[in-house]
Amino acid sequence: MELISGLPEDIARDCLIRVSYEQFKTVSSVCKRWMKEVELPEFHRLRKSTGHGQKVIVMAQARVEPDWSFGLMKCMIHPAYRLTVYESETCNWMELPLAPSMSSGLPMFCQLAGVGSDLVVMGGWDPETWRVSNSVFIYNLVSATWRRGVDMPGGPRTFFGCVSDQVGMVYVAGGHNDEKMALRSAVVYDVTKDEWAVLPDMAMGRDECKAIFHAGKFHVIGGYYTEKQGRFERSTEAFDVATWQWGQVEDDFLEDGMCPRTCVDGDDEAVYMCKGDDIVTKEGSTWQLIAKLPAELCNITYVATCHGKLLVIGSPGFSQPNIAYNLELKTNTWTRLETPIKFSGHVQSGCYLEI
Amino acid sequence: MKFCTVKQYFDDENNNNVTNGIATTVIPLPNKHLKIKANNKEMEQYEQELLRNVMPQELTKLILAANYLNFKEALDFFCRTVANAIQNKSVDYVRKFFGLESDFEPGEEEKLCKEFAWSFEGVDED
Repeated sequence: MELISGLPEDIARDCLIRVSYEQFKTVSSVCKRWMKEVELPEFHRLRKSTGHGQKVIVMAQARVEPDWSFGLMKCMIHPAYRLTVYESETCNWMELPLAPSMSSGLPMFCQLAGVGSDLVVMGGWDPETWRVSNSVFIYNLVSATWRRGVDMPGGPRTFFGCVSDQVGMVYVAGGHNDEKMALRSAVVYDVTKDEWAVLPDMAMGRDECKAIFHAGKFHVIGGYYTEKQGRFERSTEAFDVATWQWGQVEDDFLEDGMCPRTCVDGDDEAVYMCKGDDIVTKEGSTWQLIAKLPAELCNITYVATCHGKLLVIGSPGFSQPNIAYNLELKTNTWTRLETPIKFSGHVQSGCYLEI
Repeated sequence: MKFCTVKQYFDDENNNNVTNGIATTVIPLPNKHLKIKANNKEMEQYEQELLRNVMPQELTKLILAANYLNFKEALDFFCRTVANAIQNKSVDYVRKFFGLESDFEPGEEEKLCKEFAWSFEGVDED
């Protein structure tokens, strides 16, 4: 049976690979032949290799009721978080459906990681009971379905660093346990096999650390150990996947005034982050200024890299609506993005995916 | 080079099903493309015009002609037009547009509808 009547297979495929990922569900529901086509790995490989893949940032973002003023938001101590998607090329925002068990929203402080077309949601606190959960939920953006993964091993873990290698694994390190002890332990999740493996411990406990995957290594940045509650370390340590070992701790990786939460890995193998009012990049052993932040962005909520650009979300003041900006890294030029009120809530975590 | 291929296309016996309608749309394409290439809004309007006035079968003929003429830009444009025909449309509309029929078992179809009801909200009127 032909994909599209009257067209050779390859041209029909050329049409379908251009369909937006939000329509994959419609395409799959038309007939069995179309469903089979959309499920083929070659379909998605061709889509990406011909430049029709869609580059998106998925975020755990606070819900904002359009008719509420932000003043009122202050009274709402714990807004519900849900999944929003920002598409880089079209500048479109949309919302994803949550798993059936997430009727009160996403777990608070959960972490997101993207692997292929799978969005992995890890950990966090139940939004109703505040109980720490080591749960793993996975949403596939092609089939638009949720599934449950094996829970994170070990005891309860909060405020951990989490990052994907964009190939098949999600790395987790640090955080604290239910006795508020900073954790040195690290684990890795294989999304396809739905299996966890334990990594060797880090040199020190790192609560509230940031994780990035850079130059083939899993880097854990900053954080603090138990005795130094809230006083952030400036060091980093990197796990080499090939040798299955942690490298030497690099002291003074961060400078004063740097919040590790804003540290991201660029496609160009550079590392970027915010330092005060600046965007800086690591060159050798020093941080170099590449651009000043727009005046509106006083509080930075979230930073991500997406295809040669830095997405920076922040607000002019505490509990004010968030605004998104793009920084074109080749030319260091800022573009203010249209941020509908519905998508101006606080961003807890996020990740990049190409579908 | 493009003119030689066009002449050959019409001389070729196998293409005797090329109607005047197709010829009048395909031949001026290079010029129209050059004129409106820079203007996205006009491209969008042209695409909407095509989708409204040109029946799906005619659209496939346009695609085949562009492919034969090795006119990559037109081919890209028409393929995108086909993809946009699916944008924000219901499953029934897409089936009608492409002349396809559901071959799912009744139980399977119901399951699909229930599972993905959220993704069919807010679609355009058929």
